[in-house]
Amino acid sequence: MLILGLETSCDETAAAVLDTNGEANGEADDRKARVRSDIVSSQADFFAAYGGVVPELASRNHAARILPVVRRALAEAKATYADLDAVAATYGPGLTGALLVGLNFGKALAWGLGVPFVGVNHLAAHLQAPLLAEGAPRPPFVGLLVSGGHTALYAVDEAAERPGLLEFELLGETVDDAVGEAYDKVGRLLGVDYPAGPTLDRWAGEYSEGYGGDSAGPAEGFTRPMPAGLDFSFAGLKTAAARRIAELAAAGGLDDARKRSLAAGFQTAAVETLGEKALAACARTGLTSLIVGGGVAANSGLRAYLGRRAAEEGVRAFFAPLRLCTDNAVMIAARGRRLIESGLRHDLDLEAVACLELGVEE
Amino acid sequence: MKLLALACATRGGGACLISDDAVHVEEYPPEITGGRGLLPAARHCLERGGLSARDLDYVAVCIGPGSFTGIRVGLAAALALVEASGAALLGLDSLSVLHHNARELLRPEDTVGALLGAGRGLVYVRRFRGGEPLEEPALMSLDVLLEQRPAEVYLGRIPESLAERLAPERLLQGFATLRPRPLAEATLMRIEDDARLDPLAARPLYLKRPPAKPLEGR
Repeated sequence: MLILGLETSCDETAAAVLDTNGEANGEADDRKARVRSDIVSSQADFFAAYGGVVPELASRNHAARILPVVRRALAEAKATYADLDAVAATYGPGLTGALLVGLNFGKALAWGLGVPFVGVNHLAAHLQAPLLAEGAPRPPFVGLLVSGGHTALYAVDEAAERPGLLEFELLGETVDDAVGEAYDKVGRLLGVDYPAGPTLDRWAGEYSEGYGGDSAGPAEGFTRPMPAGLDFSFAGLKTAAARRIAELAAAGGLDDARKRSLAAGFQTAAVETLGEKALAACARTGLTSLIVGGGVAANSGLRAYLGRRAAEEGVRAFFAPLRLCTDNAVMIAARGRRLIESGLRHDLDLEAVACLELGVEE
Repeated sequence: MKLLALACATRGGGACLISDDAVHVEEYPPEITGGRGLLPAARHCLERGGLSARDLDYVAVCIGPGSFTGIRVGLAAALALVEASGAALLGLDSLSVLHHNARELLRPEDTVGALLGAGRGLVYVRRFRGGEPLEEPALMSLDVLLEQRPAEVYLGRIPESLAERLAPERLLQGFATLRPRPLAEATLMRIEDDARLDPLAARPLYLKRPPAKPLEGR
């Protein structure tokens, strides 16, 4: 199957062509699927000037970019429209106006070509992304989804009557801010452009390598937010960081070295919370594999901490490939392929669903 | 000649297929969104015409002004259809469509202002005389409209606050909805003029920016 994936849920306009024709013995195996193209046109630089995503402007940018992105995806895949066997597009969750661009392009394209169309849940796709890498575990496993819009834990297994299709049981989720959202808000207070996660991650690393010497002071200590059960909470951590930033700024002590010690302290609290909650989910479910997807899965601090702690607990932690952590269309094509193979088709009246929950699209 | 028109720039809309001498129209009501109603309407038209998308010569779309979301839905669908079918892309502004729909009731010597409410006391406007546009579509307040875009007759979606200021005979009622058939017909008349769009360069006609501004110093 040659499937075109489309992703326009927030501020990345993305298209990808996934080729599953090379899988051995015709057995579906995401690890053997060939990514023929993976095009992402990011609006991150555009929105850095705004301090965050402006939904109407994001939608306008998608409308201008969708066609060149799709044409480039086909060109890099050395494919034509006539070669496509199916089309998949994100239909939620996300910004409604943004979703509608990719969704309606995808529906119309599939209809015009006479091939199947399926709408894909963006969250499910993020948890499909780790399975595209060599060595990825097979379900069941715990899934940790960490991004600017979502922070949640799921028990993930194959659907009983639809082999190969992942299904999800929510174990816990953030009760306030998503972890990536907290990174962005703290970063903004430190003068970091949106999205702030990569810069704070780099600063935390620089601090641990001795940036600023003694002038950096000790890493800022923040309480690990640990609400009951498997839920998360990052609003308190964000507020504590904001207060400390204000104190240091008022005292004239917020220099580059101090910013790095703040980033290190904030990141340590955030990743330890994510890691310990994820391992608690493994212990509760008895599952010994853990996959991590979403933009924050690219965080080097999280990868290092969870990699070490998971090994100590006898859990195998597996992260999405770095390129597939942030929003992309490869994961949409991968999830869409599984949905289509399970027999699902969506009709032309499929609407965008801004608050789509995981597991309801099927 | 086979042309499929997609009208999605205001509440309610639909599709119209002109296939040689036959015309097939399918509309959806205002309570249905364009994202839900537009493509099924288009499919109904082609099914009634016994055609597939690949048979189309032209796909026409209303590029705005109007509902930001609606015009993007229409344009995204139209772009994909021309990619899939090899048809040419045609585009026309919504005010020209409103004017075209009322053309048989208009006197050629009258200046006619086609309007769509834009919220917050603003209107989208384009004036016509003798069937030809006098200016490009514009966004303005009612006061500026009456001062800078005077017309003998106004039609379209007319704000109440404007209707209260004009004599009833200057308001042409019944042409408030942007419908697919006049879009198809009006675009057809302009194929050789200004309606052809390069798909890569096609953009919605917004006329209005969102209030968000870059941070200070950016």
